[in-house]
Amino acid sequence: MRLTTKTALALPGTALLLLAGATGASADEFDMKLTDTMGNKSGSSSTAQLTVEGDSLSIKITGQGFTPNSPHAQHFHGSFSDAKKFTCPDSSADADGDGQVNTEEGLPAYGDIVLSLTTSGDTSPESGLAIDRMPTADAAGNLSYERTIELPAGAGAKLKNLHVVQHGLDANGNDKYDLEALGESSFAKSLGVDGIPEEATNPATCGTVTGASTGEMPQGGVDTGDGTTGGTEAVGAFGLAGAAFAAAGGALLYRRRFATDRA
Amino acid sequence: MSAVESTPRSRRLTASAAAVVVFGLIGIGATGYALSQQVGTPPNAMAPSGGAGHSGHGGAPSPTGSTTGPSSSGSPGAHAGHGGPALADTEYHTPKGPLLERSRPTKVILPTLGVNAPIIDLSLKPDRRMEVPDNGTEAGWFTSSPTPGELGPSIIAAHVTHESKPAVFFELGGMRQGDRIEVEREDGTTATFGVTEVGQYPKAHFPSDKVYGSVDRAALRLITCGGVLDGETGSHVDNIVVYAHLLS
Repeated sequence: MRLTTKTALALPGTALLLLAGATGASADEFDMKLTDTMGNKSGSSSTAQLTVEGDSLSIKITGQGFTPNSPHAQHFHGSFSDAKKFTCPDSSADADGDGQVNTEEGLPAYGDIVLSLTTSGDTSPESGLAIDRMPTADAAGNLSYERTIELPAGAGAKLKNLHVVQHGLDANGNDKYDLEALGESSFAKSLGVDGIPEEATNPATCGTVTGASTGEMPQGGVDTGDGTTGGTEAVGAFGLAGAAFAAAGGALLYRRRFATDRA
Repeated sequence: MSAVESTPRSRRLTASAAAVVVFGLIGIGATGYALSQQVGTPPNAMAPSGGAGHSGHGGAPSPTGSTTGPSSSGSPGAHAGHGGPALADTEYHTPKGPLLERSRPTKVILPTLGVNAPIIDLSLKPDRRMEVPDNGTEAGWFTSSPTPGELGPSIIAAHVTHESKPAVFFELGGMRQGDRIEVEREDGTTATFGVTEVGQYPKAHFPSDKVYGSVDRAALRLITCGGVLDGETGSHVDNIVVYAHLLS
């Protein structure tokens, strides 16, 4: 009775399973912690969740302590082709000793821009300074960002070894980017854009993948006990016990016979 | 031997006496073992010293220090926001412990239990429950989880019983903190894990986040069934989960 029911249920189930299998690729789920490893006194930190399915990336970033009401350029840095080990810079990367690790000083550690995390449109390195399409922190300095991006072929598998850098900080504490604080951005200038405050381009946070979870989370517990047992486990051991007792009995009888003979 | 004169007969008597004792002891031992192995008592997971089981929060800090630093872990707003640079986390966070490249598992070995089982692939069923092996001799790797040795929780499940017989993970609940787990992989390497915790949970209250959720190192979870047998559904009411970290 129960068997029949099971079989009846199993058939459409199998069909569904095949369909589900066809859609295929499993997703990898990663976490990132983005912090001010540079010691740039940005006061900013973020967490990011990444879902990588083949070459499709869904990324969600939540941060706090950012320059309020200001755009924050953010990118994946590193390389999709090199096997080079990238890292986040610490304060020792401050080559000119001005108390800030600027973008140029950080690049040797975290590598070039490979993906611009814009809110819309192009995500190539060319959009690295597209401030009008970068997320803006709210009045309390909170920043949130969410987007699904199609990556260059083969890039999905590389992503977990790369770094995200969020730029823009408020060095003089007046809640905005201004030239008075750190002067003009030499990085922006080198790309042909004049008059951008260095506060707007200096790295505020940096981080890489720190954790991973199971891609698709199964529902509930796992059905690893089957229902066929009537309740007796370790049947073999009971069998052994029986055999051993029988042997003991046999040995006893054998011994008795000898003892009797002798008496 | 004693002073008894060694005749063939006396030797036979002595030997038979020994046989009675030996077989008797084997019988008692095997009965004891068999009794101890009845459903409901495949070794249940005892909370190992150092707090495990349904370990709640608020206990002592985890000895493995899996949460480092002044926490920026997930919970938004945990930090003082803007204007509190003194509190800001400036640590460069990276995964803890060793990591291996991706490679599918081929065999799981539990030296303390004498288990050595081949590994098949398991995926999700249409009802989103995890598939399980259709026999009692193979273990299965959940293909949506990382491979053993990669960052994150790699999931391996196997039956506790199958067709009235003890199956691969029959004694899983008897594993203890510090026990080794070896997983052989397709690339020829062996990932060696150390058990950190053994938990037992009602299936209705399976701690999905703890088992499948994010971890900051290469981890392994072995899952099987345990607890009493539910006469209605004919299956065990609990799951046993062995948590382990990659050692090398």
